[in-house]
Amino acid sequence: MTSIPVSHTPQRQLPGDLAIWFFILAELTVFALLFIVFTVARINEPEVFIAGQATVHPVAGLINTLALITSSYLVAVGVWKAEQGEFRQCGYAFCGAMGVALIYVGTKGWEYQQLIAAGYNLSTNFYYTLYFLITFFHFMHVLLGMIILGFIARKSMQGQYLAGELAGIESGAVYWHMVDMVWVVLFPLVYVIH
Amino acid sequence: MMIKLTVSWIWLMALTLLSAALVNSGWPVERVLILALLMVVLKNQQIVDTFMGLQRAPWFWRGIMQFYTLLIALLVYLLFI
Repeated sequence: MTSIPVSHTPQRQLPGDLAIWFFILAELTVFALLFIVFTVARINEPEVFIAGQATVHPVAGLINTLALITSSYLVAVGVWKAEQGEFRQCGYAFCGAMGVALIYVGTKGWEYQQLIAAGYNLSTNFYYTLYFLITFFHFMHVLLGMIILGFIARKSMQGQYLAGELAGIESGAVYWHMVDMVWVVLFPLVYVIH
Repeated sequence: MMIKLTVSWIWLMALTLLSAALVNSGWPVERVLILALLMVVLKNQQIVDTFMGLQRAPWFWRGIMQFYTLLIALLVYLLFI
């Protein structure tokens, strides 16, 4: 009898559903266009943008970046726990990620409130139009992501996922990491590069 | 895996703090621009490979996600200069 050689090379697999990756690509394309518009506008109206950047709060931007990175870390830990079959732990990690994301929501809300109280709004000038448009668009993605994380956390803690069936958890997680990726680009564009 | 994730998280936090320190560095805008964009590329590379788990994914998807940040950083740099 001849033995059939078995390949032990691990197969490279895409985490989550394929559909979520096409959705992420579409989202990233929209954000890429907004980044380019922001940069071009910054070059065309440097005085307006430098004056505008002086009114935003770099510490708030820093807090938000640290919060989103920590939240992303907790989500990655949650996925790893799910891979180990520890779905309750996964749920706790996702709840933690949502809690940390609330810091972002609170800080961003405070920043908007400060700017609006100081008399800045969408129509003040092109800097504020783009600032509010891009950051609020991202803010909406954070809120949607938090709803997804909450849904996954609840389902995990109720034991509704089966071992080995991680596509739903992974899809929610990669969406959240995409939100983090976008903010990583936004932070220097809005707060650091003057 | 837990250690790998934690090391990545510490690395990302450190890069973020360094990036924030550029705000009051007083350095010329070109230098700030290059360093800030370099940190964006390094951070997103870490997020894509470790947090998203694309290090174990097909090359096409990993490449597309890595290329995205490189392309944005390059475009922003070229437009600024």
